[in-house]
Amino acid sequence: MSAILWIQDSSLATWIRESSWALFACLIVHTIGMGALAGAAVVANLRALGVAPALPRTLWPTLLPLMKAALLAAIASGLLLLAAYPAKALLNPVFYAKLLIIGAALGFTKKATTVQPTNAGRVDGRNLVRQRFVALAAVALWCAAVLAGKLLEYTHRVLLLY
Amino acid sequence: MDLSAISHFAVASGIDGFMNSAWGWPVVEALHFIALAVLLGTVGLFDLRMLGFAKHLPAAALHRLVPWGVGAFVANIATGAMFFVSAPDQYAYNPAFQSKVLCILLAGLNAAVFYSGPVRQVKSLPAKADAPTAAKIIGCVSLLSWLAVIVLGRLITMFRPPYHWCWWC
Repeated sequence: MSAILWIQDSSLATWIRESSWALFACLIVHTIGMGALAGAAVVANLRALGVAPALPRTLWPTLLPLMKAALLAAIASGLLLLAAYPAKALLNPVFYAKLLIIGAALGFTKKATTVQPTNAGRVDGRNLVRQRFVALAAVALWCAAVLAGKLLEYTHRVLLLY
Repeated sequence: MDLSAISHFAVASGIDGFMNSAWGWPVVEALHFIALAVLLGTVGLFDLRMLGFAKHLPAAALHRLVPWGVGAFVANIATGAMFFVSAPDQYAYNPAFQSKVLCILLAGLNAAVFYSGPVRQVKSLPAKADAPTAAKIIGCVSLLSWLAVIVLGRLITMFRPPYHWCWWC
């Protein structure tokens, strides 16, 4: 609790809360970052599921720079939002669920969109089914991550500590 | 503007009851954002290809993703309509919402310009080829329009009437 109070009462956190634009700017950057990250990841998984067959099946290397930039923007803005209202997130289990789901979604996306489902140079049926199953799970995880993010606004029990 | 007919429709159709249930608003918000992310991932990626990103990918292959973007946009309209009818006064008089609608119209007009001409040249672009200047401008306008839609969508909750009022009310 004392750590949360220390973050909450820091000059940076106070400034973000009291500024007329800082909180809005953080929310906007976080929204665009998460939207671009989830959007790029879903597209890569859609390709693994068979959409747009003229594209390479392994889109991860192509989309990685975009996803890295989006993730960095989301993390930086997310940390500032966390600093502004630390109790709101850190005392809410949904926040930890969101982080775990995003981590799993990234891992599943990487697995589904990095390696060709081949065996001895030819597309292998079992590997293809496995890859599509992982891609489908990744899409479901991205949907769950967005839902968890939205639920944060509705499930927090504490906004600020006094 | 009399918005009571919209509110009556929301109550009679059950949308209002669903939206004001424990899960209604957050679930529809999540669906709205997922659709927006898919729109950004598909149409936005195509726009980025016009601007020179991932040039090793043939534009025609990326264009196959656009129908998914259109589907996502339809989902956005459906979920957005659920927000609107559930609290029409918070949207109809909201400057951020009005600006968002203008940006959506701009994106639509921009897409119409693209499909009236440059689309044929772009679809025949081989991998590693630069898009024509007209397509680059269209891609840039499209990307900026959709980013503005996201920003303004975020601002809707921050510029609510009666503290903020629409431009022409």
